[in-house]
Amino acid sequence: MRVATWDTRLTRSVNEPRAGSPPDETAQAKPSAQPKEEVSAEWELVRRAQQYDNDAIHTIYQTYYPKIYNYAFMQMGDVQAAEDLASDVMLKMIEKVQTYKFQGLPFGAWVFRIARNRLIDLHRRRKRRGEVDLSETIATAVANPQVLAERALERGQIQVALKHLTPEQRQVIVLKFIEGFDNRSVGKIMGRSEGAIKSLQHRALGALRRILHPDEV
Amino acid sequence: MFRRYGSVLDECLAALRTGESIEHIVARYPRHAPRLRSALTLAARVQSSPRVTPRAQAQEKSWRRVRERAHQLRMGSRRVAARRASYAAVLKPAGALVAALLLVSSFGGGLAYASQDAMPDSPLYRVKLATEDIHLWFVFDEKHEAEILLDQSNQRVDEIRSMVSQGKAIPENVLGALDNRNRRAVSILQDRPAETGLRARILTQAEEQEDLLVALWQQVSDDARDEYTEAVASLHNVRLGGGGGAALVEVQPGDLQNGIFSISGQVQALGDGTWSIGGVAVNIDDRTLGHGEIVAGLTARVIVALDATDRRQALSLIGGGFLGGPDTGAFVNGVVEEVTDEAIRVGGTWFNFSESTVQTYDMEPGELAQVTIVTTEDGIVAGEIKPAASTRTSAETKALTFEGTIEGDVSGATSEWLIGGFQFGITESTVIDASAGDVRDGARVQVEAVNDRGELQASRVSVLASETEAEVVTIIGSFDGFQGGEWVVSGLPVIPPENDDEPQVGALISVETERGDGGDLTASGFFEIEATDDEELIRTQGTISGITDSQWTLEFGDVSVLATAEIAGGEPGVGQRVLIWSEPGDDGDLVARYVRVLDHESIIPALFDTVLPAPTP
Repeated sequence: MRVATWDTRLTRSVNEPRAGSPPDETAQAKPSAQPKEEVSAEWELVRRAQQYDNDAIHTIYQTYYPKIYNYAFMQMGDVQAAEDLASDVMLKMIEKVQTYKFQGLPFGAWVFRIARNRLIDLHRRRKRRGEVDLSETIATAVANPQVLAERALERGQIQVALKHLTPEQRQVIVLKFIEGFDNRSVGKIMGRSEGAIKSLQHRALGALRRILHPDEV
Repeated sequence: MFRRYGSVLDECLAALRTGESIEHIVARYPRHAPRLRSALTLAARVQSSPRVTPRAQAQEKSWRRVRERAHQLRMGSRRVAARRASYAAVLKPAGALVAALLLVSSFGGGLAYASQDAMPDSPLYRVKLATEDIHLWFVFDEKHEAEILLDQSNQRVDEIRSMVSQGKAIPENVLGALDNRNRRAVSILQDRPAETGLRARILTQAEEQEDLLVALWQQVSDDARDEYTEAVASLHNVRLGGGGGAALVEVQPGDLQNGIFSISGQVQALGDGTWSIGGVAVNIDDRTLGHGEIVAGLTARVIVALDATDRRQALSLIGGGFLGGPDTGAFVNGVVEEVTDEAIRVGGTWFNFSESTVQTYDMEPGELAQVTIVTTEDGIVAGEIKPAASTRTSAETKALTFEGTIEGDVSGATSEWLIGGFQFGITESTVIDASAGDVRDGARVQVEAVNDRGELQASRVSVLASETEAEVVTIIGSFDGFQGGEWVVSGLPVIPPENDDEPQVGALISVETERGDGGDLTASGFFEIEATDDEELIRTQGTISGITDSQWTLEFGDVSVLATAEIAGGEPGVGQRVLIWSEPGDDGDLVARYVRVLDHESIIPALFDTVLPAPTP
């Protein structure tokens, strides 16, 4: 099976004629983290996926499964739960891909929004069943969060350091600094305004800094 | 110029992402240098942190599931495509035949031919009407003549709909011609009681036409009021007479002189043919269609005509204890996604058109529209479609939603009501929904209004089932900025809350306020519903018929109310009305961002047996 990597795929078919509706100019006018050729290539891939082209679906899967797994693991700190969530999100993505319309929002943000909604549902179900939130156990099991967080960052275990943040702060850190989304996309994923995301990232970095360096004002 | 640290940080983080060095970035902002350096260093550490990678086995297993699902969807998609192709094979020859017939039937030339498509605002329209009359000279069978007159009457209705959909006022000529055709047809049938088929047709047609004209009162040109009242009165009398027979009592055009309005509410008998509908006194008698169904204590919707002295004569009674069919006050307000000849899609939901759908403007995809929802025996349909004002418009007219308490007796007055300390203009086009309680002094109400250069005009007043204190006022509107140290929300002054939070200018906000002794509104808090840079949210109002986990079911379909949604106004429950701002979700559902619970208890528990799922075209 031919598998195109995300990066190589982005370099082709920028000007190829397309049967589907291309991203409109008004949507393009809005700020986006993606260069125009990336957006165009992404749209081409998504358009093929909307026709259930196996290669296109596989490329999208290979790109987003690890990202969603990473995102879910950062939020929940549990390998099995993160795998289940990533798998669910991929299934949901393929079932709903035909409803995706390019409106200036990157496809990635659309996929992450599915993941975030799934995550909220999962937390809600667990809470209803009286199950303990895994993220809380990690955070509260440590006597000195500062030591743990610093060690975690040193070892590259960012997820452990993030456990001391609120869920929203954690999400903005992952989406903005790890996944590289711009404020607009993060806002769309989280259901918040761009202004709110700016404030949230400020508070999230501040909170992380206070955990790591409590002596700094 | 002073800039907030959060804004500076955001700019620096963007620069960091482009690969600029931290010291280079920090040098631009010496004032914030220590904080920025610390934050950027931390952000860089987070950015460079390695990702957690999934187990290959789990990823492969999950892929097999996705591949299998994609295969199923692919096969399903092909079946649909094959069906479409087979339909096209049948329909294309049929379409060609229709086109050929149309070509053959196109004949003649000159003025009469040119006037065929003339609209009421065209100079050729008179020629068109005259040509129709000439055609009737050569019809010697009176029954056939009545049929042609009824066809012509329907053509007038199409012309009226077309005028309205172009945003034009309805002129007198088309209303006069409509009335003329109807009267002539009725006159023929009065002498032919055996023509039951035609009588049934004229009755149905009269019902549809009266309903349409009643809904279009606001679209009638000022010069055409007499023709309008004549046409509506004669249609009403046709219905009273059973479609051709003479009615024992009739409505006179003068009974409608000051307009027509609708009111929903609980029925109470006041005596001598006068009834209270939601606290408003209305005359209900033999001239009222459906008057036999009126039952004290139940809820009904009534179409009321006002004469020159504002005496209220009920034209028709809809309901008789059944609310939920005609009008639940539900609507969807959002960008039009698609429009076909049969339906319109707004907020991810298709709403079918029906014979009685009123469209005051031909909506195009991308435009902002409000679709009022009506539940019929065939399911949910669009009752009215009209352009909606964006909350972000900087025009002098500002839309707002206002929640407050009625002050003073309003049962007799129709011009101005004092609500939450503000005067609201009440006109004949104001819809009054008193199904949850009477309009009276002390009643809690939600008002949909516009602030037109300081004049508040109510388009809808809904009585709420709520025990909120009279001093509490909630405003949902655009934050216009400051004036003399006060906030201005959709043109209304509000004293800011004590904390230093403030909304973004131009944002749509909900502000909870308390009215002081001097009448000033002091905000206790606010919620930013929609920022200026957000895409336009979908605004919906409806009654909850079910709550399952995060899914709420309303008249028009489901809304996901996740933990992140802001719920204000009270605890939600089945049977309560809610106002929701949502964005389109991943799976076509609406995902709520802000929910305003309007009622504190269920208002119509029996309604939900009648609610049908939203249709698809």
